[in-house]
Amino acid sequence: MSKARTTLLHNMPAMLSASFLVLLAAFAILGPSAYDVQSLGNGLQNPSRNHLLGTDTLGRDLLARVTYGSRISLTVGVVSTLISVVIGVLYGAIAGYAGKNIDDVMMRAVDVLYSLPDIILVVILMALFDRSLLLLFVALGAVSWLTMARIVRGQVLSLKHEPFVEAARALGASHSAILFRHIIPNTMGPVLAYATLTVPTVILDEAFLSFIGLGVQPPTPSWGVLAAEGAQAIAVHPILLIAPTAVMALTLFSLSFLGEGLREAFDVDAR
Amino acid sequence: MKRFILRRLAVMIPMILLVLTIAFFMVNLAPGSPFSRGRALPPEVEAALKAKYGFDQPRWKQYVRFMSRIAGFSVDQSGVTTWHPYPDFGESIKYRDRRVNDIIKESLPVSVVLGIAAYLLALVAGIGAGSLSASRRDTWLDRLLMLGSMLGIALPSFVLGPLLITLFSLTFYFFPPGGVEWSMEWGYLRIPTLRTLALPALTLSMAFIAYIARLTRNGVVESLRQDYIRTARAKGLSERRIVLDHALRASLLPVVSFSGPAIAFLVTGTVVVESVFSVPGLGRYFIDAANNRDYFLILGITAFGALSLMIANLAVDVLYAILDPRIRHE
Repeated sequence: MSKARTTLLHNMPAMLSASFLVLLAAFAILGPSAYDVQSLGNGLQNPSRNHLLGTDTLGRDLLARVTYGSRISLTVGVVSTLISVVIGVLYGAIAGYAGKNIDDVMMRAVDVLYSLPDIILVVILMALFDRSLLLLFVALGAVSWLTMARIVRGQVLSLKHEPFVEAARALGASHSAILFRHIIPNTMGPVLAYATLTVPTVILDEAFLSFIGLGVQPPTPSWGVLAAEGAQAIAVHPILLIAPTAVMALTLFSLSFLGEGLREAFDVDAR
Repeated sequence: MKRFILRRLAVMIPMILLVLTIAFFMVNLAPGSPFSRGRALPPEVEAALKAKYGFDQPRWKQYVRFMSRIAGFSVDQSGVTTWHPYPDFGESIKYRDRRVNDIIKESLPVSVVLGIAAYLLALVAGIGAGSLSASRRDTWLDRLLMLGSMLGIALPSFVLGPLLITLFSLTFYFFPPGGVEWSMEWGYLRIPTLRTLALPALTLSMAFIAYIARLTRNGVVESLRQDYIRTARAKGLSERRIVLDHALRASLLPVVSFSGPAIAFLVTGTVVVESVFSVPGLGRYFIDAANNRDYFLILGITAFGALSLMIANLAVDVLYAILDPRIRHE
């Protein structure tokens, strides 16, 4: 663990990314959040002292909308990823620990799910059921756990014959105790690394869904909602598209640098 | 190899049926009905419409009916069952009196052409930029190309599309901002003109151009360190021949294996790009169908989305085996 920490601390891009993410999260939580105060006479203003990024078509403060949108998008990214981590870790750990036929069947099922068009199913789900943030979390989490399951299974396969697991078994620990107390805690490094890489894909999926009108519902902003609004006004007021996109792009970069750094530190093989 | 391809093609049939079953029950269990939107219909009209599409039947009967139509059995008004060798997805609900099969026949080729154009563009531009970057390693050109590729990866298509429209259509008038003109039409197979295809294809492929450029650059830089490159240099080959004939070939495998996820992305990407540029393809109909609860159209497009994904993945695996003789599919 300490070797991993040293590797990570010496990884400049990863540390810069981590600081950016901390700052952004702090800003998203603490920054201005009056995202829906309209002022119809003051639409499409340029940046000024009152509105640091100007206003949108309905006279709403763009900075507040980007801040609140970041809060929503980051929440979707993190919560959906957590859901996918829980499913993926449990599934992969059980498959790897059970071994033999159960493992075969479970991993074959993952192969089948891999070739399904997940985002198409998410679109159907979001279009037909009552759209809510909760449904969005669950839908995105439910389609993002496959690679996690594969990684955890691989880890468990190599861990389950380690001396400390044998020792626990010899002491009479139950299967669930061995799995939850001894094996799963030891997979957390790679899990953390891969979870960090899952967040950007989930964020992009959310942005995609919101852009086509099936994700976060206006007037609540998210990066996808803001990009959709900005795209409509691009010829007249490009900052509406540029500001949220820039924040989103920086976040995606940071997450993938940090994820790669973690992966290097924990020496994870993606297969 | 032949057996491998045949087996994979055979597996696709149960996979599609599985996708359709999942989608069928998602659609069927959803609250509301396609007729509950907009103007309220008189109850007897709504009942007649429901009977027309079979929505008055119990769920399992609807499922059996749907699946038997997929298997090619259809029942006409007088109750006579006939069989034909293609699936029948039934009638669209929003586009009254149009069959889902016809909508798909009309829009699938457009999406496929767009997807293939984007994929080829990504290969050519990505490999070109990547090998250029690698052979000019650590110069300003290399840095510029790699910076550009970072941007290409981070800009989602729904941001890039409007940006390109503003730049190329509204400022410089090079390309139309949307819509399609046909250069050739053979029945259902219609090929858009290059002029109308250029911006959508570029938007769709930008992320892959960027990824492929990075993959190629890393691969070429890696292989330029190998001994056989030193041999080639010692033989007195030109730098261009060394990069293009020797180093590039070894670095193409990661590009091919990246194509799997890339194609999955292309299939979803068409949804956004087709709506941004008003291209009448499958993706645009899909959003439309989902929002209008056009049940059979949703299911039909889902089936073809899944099918194109599977065929593309199979193509990638076959290509991989051809390029790398060490891999043998049994």
